[in-house]
Amino acid sequence: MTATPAAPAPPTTGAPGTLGGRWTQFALRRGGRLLVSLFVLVTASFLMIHLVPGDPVRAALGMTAPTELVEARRHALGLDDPLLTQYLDYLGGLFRGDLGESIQTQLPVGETIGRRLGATVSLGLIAFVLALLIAVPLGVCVAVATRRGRRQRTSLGFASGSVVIGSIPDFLIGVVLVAVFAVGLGWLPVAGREDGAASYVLPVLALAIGPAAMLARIVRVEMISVLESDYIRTARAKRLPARRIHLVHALPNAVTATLTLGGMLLASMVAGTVLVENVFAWPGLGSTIVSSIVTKDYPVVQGTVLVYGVIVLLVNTLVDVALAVLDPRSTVGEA
Amino acid sequence: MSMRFEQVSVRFGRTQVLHEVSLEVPDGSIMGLVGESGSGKSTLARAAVGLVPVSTGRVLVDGVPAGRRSGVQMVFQDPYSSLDPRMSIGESIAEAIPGRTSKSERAGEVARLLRLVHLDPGRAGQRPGSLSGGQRQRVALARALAGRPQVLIADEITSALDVSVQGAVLNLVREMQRELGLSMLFISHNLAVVRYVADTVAVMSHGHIVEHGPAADVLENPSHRYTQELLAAVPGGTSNTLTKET
Repeated sequence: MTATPAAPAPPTTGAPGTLGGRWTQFALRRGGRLLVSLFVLVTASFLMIHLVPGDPVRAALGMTAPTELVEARRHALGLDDPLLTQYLDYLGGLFRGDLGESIQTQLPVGETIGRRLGATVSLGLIAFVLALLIAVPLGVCVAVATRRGRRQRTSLGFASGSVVIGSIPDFLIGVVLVAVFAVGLGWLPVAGREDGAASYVLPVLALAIGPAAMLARIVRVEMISVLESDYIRTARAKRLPARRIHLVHALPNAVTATLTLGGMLLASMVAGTVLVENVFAWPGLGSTIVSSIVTKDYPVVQGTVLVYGVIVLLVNTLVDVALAVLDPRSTVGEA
Repeated sequence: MSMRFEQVSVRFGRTQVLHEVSLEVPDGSIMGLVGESGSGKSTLARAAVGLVPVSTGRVLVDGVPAGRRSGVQMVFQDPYSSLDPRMSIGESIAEAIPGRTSKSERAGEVARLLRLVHLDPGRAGQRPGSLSGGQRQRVALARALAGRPQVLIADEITSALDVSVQGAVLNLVREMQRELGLSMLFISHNLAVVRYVADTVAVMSHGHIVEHGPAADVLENPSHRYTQELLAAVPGGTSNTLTKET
């Protein structure tokens, strides 16, 4: 018998159809999709101020404000220019990092957002990491314990519990946490960011608990499916330790759906900060957007919505890239 | 080393799949295990490697109960799904090498095993997805041999392969068995394939061994009615499909 000839190694770059070509196609597709999404987002945020019923400046300054002041502010905001001119000015401003000026404080919107962005991003990221740290081990453990119809009560309890917890709005969880741990027990600060790490505990929990429950459910379902795979049976036949089978063979193969949902959860957590920050008086973008809506400070609302949208788009793109690296068969193959 | 099943019964819930099966795979020979689908062949094999729990009886390897380090390895039917798609074939093989060895020793052993199954050692870094079905089944054989088994169980290892590839894998199995002196339980529903590789044959029906003996005797002069029916169901018989190499 002769040795089987080796197949030629796949080139790393090259024509479409090769691995390198597929990666290039993938990058172009994702880059194109991001650009289109950004264009839609920017246009929507621009039009937002024009969709407000009536005159936004009059609404912001109040019905009793002098007409001269309203006109002056309209002129300062460029609202008396033709729509296309305003749009081009808006785009030009974005390229220069100029998001306009607050009607209320007269401060540049970019500066206001810059001061508060860190608080929101840190809150969202810590909550996301916590949700992963809870969900992945929990989902894996429950999957291993309940696979092949074992421990039916645990399975039912986990499925019901995760749906119930995942369905509770995060701001409601926040209110309960404040009532119990801040007001009732006095263990943690009620609100604000002045108490260092302790300030983060309740808002992070409020943001993380619901997504962690939903993510754990997905991890469990994916793990159970992977644990029934033939290659897991092969790993068992190799007489490998259970921990190696679960962590080295099963978990990486269950990660695709987890990461897809994880990315969506991170995006939803960023949006979730809007309400949670208000529950905890957190000095981030979420409280800024709500207070700006209340005071009808539309340039700030416009800028903040744009920043939130960009964060969500970037998170989704990062998840796409991570999926492509972890699972080139499906993601890059699709390109 | 021989492998002996002593009064082995396996039960899934209320269904008894194996009924006090007793069978011995003689030292250094290939025993073919045949029977229709659902007869319990694969369950018997899985019981030997601990993939299904034995409700009564025991499996002995060289007189010692088969445990975690029993020296029994198994190759599965579907080469397309039996290897971890995220792991390189070299890693899959290296993982089965027993004991603590250095990285270079493992790499050397992986290369030796790949050469043994007639694959280029340079492909150790590739993932299973880049290999054909026949090549993957060779990797699965190398993976099983990495565990340094005394007994190898091959469960329908050619049934998912093209006919053109089946012969090459069967020749490889015979070659491995001869070179390494392995005892082997070769499971198949294809009687021609079993006749080609096996020295002895056992016939299984509804969780019972109904007949066993030298391959020529069982397949040419079957004494049990079930074996006769099994042979009668083969179009063109078993002898004219494959010719045994000597």
